[in-house]
Amino acid sequence: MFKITTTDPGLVSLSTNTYRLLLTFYPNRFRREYGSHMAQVFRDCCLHTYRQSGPPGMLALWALTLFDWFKTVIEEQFNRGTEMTQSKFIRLSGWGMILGAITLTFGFLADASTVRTWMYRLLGTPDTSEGFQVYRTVSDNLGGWLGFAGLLLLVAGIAGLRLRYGKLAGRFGHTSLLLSIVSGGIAVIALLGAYLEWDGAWYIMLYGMAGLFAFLALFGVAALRAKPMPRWNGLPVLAGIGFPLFTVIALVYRVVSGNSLEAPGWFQNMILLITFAGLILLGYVLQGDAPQDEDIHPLQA
Amino acid sequence: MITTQPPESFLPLTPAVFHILLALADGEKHGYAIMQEVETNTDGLVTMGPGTLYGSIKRMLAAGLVEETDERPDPTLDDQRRRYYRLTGLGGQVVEAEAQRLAAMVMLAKAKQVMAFGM
Repeated sequence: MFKITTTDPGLVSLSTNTYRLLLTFYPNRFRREYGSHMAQVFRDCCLHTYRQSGPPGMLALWALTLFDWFKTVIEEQFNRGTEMTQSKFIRLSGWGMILGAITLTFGFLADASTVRTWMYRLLGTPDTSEGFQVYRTVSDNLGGWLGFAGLLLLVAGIAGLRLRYGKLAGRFGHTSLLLSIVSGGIAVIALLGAYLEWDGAWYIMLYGMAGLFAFLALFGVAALRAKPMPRWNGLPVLAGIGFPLFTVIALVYRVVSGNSLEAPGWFQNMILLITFAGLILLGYVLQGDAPQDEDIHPLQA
Repeated sequence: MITTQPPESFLPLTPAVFHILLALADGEKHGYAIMQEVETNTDGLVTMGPGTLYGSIKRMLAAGLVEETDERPDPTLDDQRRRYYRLTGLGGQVVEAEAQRLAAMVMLAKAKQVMAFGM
């Protein structure tokens, strides 16, 4: 640690000691790393100014230094706060993606025809029975709310993914994730609209979800080239491809045959499983790769 | 974290970062020497305090534009506690790109006849 020499004039020693006190306002990490060097530079400035201009020059130096101190203390404290917030957000968004995948899957399952059939067999009663009606009421409401919560968590997860890997994946990947977030936001609003019985809200929700996953898959294509993640760069494609692929197949089938596609249960379950596994693993990678020491303060003017 | 971004992605630089890079363009220097050089180069128009200097250096180290060096020009003449900094290859490319950008702006100002001299 820097120490004041006894040969320094009294005013210089006093100034340097005062400046060292002011250094305590900087974040601890910054002060530990640069505090002694800043004090040394300030002492050099004091000695130079004192020799050249005497006490009046010291006053001018202090005016400049105080302005610099005030500005940079705010900058460094803000920088530390933003760094922590971003790091925390990325870690939490990873967990959000995992929880979102689980919630969304339960939301689908609560409403899925396969599960209804299982429940029907389990309860062993006709669908007019009291037990089945209770299950149906619960599953209808639960499915919607789980879907809503799952979508929100998924959008937050993709926002974290964009913050962490968007720029590293290049402009195409960065933009794809932005469009994925926008599509997810539309799906969330449309799902609320569906409960308020807005016309066409259900279809907007489905296409919004298809957009969310399709743009996630497109980010995955960019990720396969740029490899921004520490491992498993194919995960975004795996997590994103199933739902839009199914939507496109259903659309084409409808256009060609004029009927709605009745996809076999195993096919639906397989797509659900692949998407579920992809999102869980993607969230796992994201939560474990939040930046620790990255400086997010820009160099640009 | 050392980035591998292209030099143009750092532009435009803050005045402090640009002047620090310029000061280091002709060799490694310690903090106070950088401050003195910036003041001399700009005829005293740009003065930076220790907070701006080391805040900028911190960010430049993180971006891989400068690096610390253990070498001393003359250990007998200098304080061993000082830290010396020098440009990295990327730092050299970035300062060159910023200088070219500024030169292009000066050319534009000349073409638009908004400069008092050099017409």
